[in-house]
Amino acid sequence: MGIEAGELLYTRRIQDLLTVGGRVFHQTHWAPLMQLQGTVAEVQLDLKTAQGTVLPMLVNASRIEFQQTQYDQLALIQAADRKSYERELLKARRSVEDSLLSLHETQQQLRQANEFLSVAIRSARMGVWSQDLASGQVKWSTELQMLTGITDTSRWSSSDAFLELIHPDDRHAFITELALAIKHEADYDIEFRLQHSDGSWLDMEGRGHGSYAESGEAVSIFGIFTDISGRKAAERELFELNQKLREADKRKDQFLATLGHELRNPLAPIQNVLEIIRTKDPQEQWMRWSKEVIERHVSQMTHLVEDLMEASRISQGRLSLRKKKVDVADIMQSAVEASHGIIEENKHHITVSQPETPVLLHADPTRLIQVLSNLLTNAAKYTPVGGKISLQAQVSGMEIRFTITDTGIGIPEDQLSHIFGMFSQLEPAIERAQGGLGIGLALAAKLVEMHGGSISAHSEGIGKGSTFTVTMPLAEDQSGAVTVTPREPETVTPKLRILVIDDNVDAAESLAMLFDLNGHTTRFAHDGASGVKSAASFNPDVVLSDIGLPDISGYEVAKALRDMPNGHAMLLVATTGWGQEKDKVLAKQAGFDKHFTKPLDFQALKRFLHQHYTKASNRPVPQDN
Amino acid sequence: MDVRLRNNVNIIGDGQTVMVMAHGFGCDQNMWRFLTPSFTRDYKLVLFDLVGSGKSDLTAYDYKKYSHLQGYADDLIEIIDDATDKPVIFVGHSVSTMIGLLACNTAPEKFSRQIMVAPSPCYINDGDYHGGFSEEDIAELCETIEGNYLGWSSAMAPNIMGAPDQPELSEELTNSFCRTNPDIARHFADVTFTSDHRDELDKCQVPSLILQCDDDFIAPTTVGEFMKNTMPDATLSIINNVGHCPHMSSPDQCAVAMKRFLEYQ
Repeated sequence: MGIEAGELLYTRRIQDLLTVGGRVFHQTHWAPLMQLQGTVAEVQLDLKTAQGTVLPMLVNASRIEFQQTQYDQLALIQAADRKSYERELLKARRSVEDSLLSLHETQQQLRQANEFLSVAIRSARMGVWSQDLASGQVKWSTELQMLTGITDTSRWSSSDAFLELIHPDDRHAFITELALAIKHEADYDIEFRLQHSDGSWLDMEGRGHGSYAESGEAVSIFGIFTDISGRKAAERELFELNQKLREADKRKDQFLATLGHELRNPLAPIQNVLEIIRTKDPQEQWMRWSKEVIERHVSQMTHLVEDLMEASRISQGRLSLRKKKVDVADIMQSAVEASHGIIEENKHHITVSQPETPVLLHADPTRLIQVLSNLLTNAAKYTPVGGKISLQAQVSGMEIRFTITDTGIGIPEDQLSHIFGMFSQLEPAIERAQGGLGIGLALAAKLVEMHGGSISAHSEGIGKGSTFTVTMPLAEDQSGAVTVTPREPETVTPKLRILVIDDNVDAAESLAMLFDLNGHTTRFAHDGASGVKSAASFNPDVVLSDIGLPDISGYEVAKALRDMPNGHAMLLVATTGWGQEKDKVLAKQAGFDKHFTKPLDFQALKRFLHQHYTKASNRPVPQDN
Repeated sequence: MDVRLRNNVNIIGDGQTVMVMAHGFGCDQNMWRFLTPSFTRDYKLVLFDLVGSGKSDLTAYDYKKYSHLQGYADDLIEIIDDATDKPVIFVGHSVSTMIGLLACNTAPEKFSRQIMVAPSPCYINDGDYHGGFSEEDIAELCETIEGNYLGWSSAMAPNIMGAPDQPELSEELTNSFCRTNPDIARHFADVTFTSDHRDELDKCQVPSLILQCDDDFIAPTTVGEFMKNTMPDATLSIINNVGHCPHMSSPDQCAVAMKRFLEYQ
């Protein structure tokens, strides 16, 4: 306090040492307390020091009486420390209360979050499981119990019981997968069947991983099981539907192939007969007209059937390219020739602009001609009579661009994107006069694609004409083209003895007649056995045999012929409707020298025979009859 | 709300006339124990604790209601109504003298006499008026009241002493006569010492006795003079006493002065 005792004794009252607040407190609290209970304990008052500073004190006082005089004894303790301790204590208490409150709130939030999670897990048809690896004890969440309907803990709590609930066929994989996940500290993802309380099996998906002690030892494994029964059922249904669809698609392709084949067979004798008529130029006007009508329509029909065959070859993946180096000019010329008929018929005016110098492509000439002629035919079909069609080719870098432009009906914008689809035609077809199967453009697109090129269509709209553009890569080496259409030299083929074996009587007889007219000697047979028999007596130079015969196959016929004394000298030609690579291989193995696809192109056949027999070594042995 | 429970009302004495005694700031009705023996023969004494003090119902302490002394005055009128339907003699100490004054002005018919022990209508100096304190003094006082553990000790002292299961140990330390909740004590001190009821003095028609100590630090004699001069019907009687509680330290002098006032009037 800095005050000498002498300064206080008998001169100052205790309250004189107090601050104003302390003095009021002394009056209102201390003095009454002293009078009422004789003591005052632990009262905190500020005392003024001699320097005028304030010193917090704890005051204890008691009143005693000594020789009829009352004395108040005061004990003063400096309170700073104690006060601060008490403040700390109070603060600590408040902080504990606060953290208890916040703990309570956190727990509340956690409970709520858990409830939300549980709802989410339930609605996703999920459940949580875990297994303690030391004890083998398995735990299931409430959601998993609800999912399986199994609530009796003993059904899953032991490892063995739990595995009992997994389908026997899936159990081994389940155990193996989990063991692997634990071993490699990896996630597992497994599908299995889990038993429901009603005995049915739930398709489940299990995902999760192990948890490990600090030492690295696995202590437990846990995961989430998801009921995927719904998904599995949908997958199965989808798979079955897909299977059916694929089956139906395959049958459709087979049907189209069969249809093409069956349509082509009757075309063969008709074409042969036309060839026969051609050699005997009819004198009568009406007969000439009739011949021309038949020729035109047979050509149209042949074209349609060929498209159909091509389409089915593409959809069955049987189309293969025979690429060689070809000159663009040759291709263009052939394409224009191929579509000449329809262009002529519609009185269109066609302009062709070819590159000035030879440009070589590495392509299948037949297919490329087909592409361009299809586009030209298409242009002719969809352009009103007397229109203009142009075919241009332009080289740009290592590409060539063919442009086919017409002044036709055009293509609505909304149909531009799907005109290259199979069996698609402009709908509603504005002008269906020319008909068609809707195959031509699809075929062209597919063939261009197989050549590594691209095709696109452009039109300003209805009535404004169309432009088709085909872009193809150039051959890297621009030398050494193969001529596509060699000019046929005048043929002087030796007179041959030809045997035709075909169960299609009209086809066989008309072909035989054609050869007869060309100065050859012919025989024909309608089944394998009589064919072989006929060959033995007739001793032919050439045998044309169908493969699909009613009794024995054409392959067997070939073997029988080769076994004859003169068999090796015969030229054996197979004729089939299918034209598959496989057939050709089989024909070769059976002993055929050559394979022709029906309907037979008589000119091609003639050419082949000419080439074969103009080589000296192949001259036929003169026969006596 | 039962008034008697709320205010811990105690009625003693054999007389017919009702004398209501209200304790001052700091302690509770126990403060009257040295004075009451002089009146129990002739009067019926109604003793009570102000809400927030002593053994009143602390849950009834409404900070809004008791932010003005009128709240306590309304309680007082309810206590009187509960005790009698006749006018009463009211004896108030310290802050309760102003509570009594407000009650007299609110319901003068319920009061026959008013005895004011160590009153002050305003503790803060204001111009010519000398209340005894500056505003800073009052602020410091409120700190002291809050800083003392008389109040919350009932809850905290056992914990601080490390013997929560032996509450009797702390009883001595809790200064039980003057304990209350520290928040209430602080609020009550604030309301009491910042109040100014000088304007109420001249409205009081009830005959009043002012018992003034000649050496009271809290209510100086100038305050007694001011009141006597302001009130329409007031008698000033000076008690030779040091301190603010003459009814405790000089009960006989107080009793003589009171009886003279009651008989004379």
